[in-house]
Amino acid sequence: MITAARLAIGLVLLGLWQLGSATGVLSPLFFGHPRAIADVIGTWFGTGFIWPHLATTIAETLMAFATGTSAGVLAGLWLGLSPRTQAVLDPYIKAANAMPRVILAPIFAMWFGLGMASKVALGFTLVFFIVFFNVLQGVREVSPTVLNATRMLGANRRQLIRHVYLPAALAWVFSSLHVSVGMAFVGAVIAEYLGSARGVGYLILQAEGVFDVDTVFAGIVVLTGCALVLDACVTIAETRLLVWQPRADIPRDT
Amino acid sequence: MAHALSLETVTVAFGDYTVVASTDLHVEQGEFVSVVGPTGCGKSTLLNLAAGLRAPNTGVVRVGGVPLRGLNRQAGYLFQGESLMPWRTARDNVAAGPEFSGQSRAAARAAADAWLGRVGLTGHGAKYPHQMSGGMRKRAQLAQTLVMDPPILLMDEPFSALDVQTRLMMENELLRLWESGSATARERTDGSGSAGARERSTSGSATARERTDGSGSAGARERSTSGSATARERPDGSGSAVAREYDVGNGAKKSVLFITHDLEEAISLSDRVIVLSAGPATTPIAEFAIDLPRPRDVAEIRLTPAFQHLQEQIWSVLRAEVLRAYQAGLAA
Repeated sequence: MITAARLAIGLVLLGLWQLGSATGVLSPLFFGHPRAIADVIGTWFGTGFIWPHLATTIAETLMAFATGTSAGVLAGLWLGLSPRTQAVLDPYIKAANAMPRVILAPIFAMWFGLGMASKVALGFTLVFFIVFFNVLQGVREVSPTVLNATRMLGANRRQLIRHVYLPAALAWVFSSLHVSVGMAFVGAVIAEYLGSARGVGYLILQAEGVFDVDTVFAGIVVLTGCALVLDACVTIAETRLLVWQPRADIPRDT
Repeated sequence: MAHALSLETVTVAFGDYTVVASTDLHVEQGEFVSVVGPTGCGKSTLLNLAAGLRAPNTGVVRVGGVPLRGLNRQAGYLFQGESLMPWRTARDNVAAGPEFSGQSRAAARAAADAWLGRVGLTGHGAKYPHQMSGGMRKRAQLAQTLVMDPPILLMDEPFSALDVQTRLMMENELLRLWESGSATARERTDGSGSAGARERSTSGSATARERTDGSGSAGARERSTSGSATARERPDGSGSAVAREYDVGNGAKKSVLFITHDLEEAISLSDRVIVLSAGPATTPIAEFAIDLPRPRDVAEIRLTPAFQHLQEQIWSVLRAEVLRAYQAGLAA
């Protein structure tokens, strides 16, 4: 029932779009043509033309995610456990986070060139702060009872970090996984769009330059599909990693 | 012989607010002492002093006669709230202490399994805390503390969050475990001496429990001889004479300091009940020896005339304090 309704909405919207562009109500120059868009996507996957570009974008996303998350966890743990340093650095962290980071893309392009490095760098700045603030929060909200109990069991500081602070912080990281993976993706695509020689963002940029709106839309569709797949992967990883967290579907003993 | 644990004229203040005023309190070796008092009178603060989680503003805390610096490594602490690590299964929570002390994962898990069995959680080891009921979590907490075989047990209203039936069961369980003495004493009699090992840097007692070779079958109760043997087995061989004398004695029952606001619970479990005054500036105002026979059943003993007589006596002292705390609460 729900699935049928969902399908119906999609088909009606596509139908209206197709009808509008066929009758000229929606100018095909600006709105494209669903059939033509489908053809572009078909050619991309049929000839395999899209794969190197898609692979580039995904590789950039994954690298931005990995580096941003690791750095965010380390920085979050460090500052979370040394409140004084955190207090000193606080205004700088706030400023860095408040800065519209997309605007760094041209600078990264100058520093790291038009290759993948500049894309990873932009994704990194987006992912880092999300993870960093979550870890900071996670460290602050560690239950004092759990902390004291673990100390009474003989844990030293290193063991406290490894067995209490880190798992508590990682729970917060995982809960923001959807956002941070999404941000890594956004960073990669935007940086590609602002200057690159490869990637789906690059394809969109090229097509836009020649007013090929069908190809622009085709790129958007491919990116959306790719984002959905990434999101599904995150959901799978989440259920694996957060098995210890209460969920509604796990029955509880009484 | 020194007290297992003593607080000597300790005071605790947060700024101008005095929580604990000049308090003397001690627990003998193998003694079960309960402290009762109105809510909010600073009972938990006393326990934190004994645990070394907090230092007194004045006065001194002694463990086995030795002034306490830092955490009390002789003590296990059973907290009132949820103290299990939510990201570990019941089994891994119980194995945590042995793991921290450097035992291999396999040995830690074996010890954990043995203790899960003893607290009635066999078959529940793979569950995460959120998958267990409140009573099961308390059992896991108890196992987590007891697997370390601490000579001193600090308990902060451990069963207050449980329903009445579960609570009575847990109290009986606690008495059974306590009366059967330390893990080692019991392990040695049944011959599988792998549970409850812990490396204690501050005390000579660790080795008595560290021994897993089963050679100590004479039992830790044979104090003088096994005491010297363990001293030799200690890896770093240090530890003062006082500490050693004290440690030798802990093959038997643990010394327990039990905090509660439930008078019936206090009487049915304890050898001695100490009544605290209402806060602020709480201090012990009365002390009662509980000479009820052991072993006890906490549910049945409440029906005996001797119990009720004690309850009347203690309540006559406690009532005024509870009222005072209640009125202070209303005023605030």
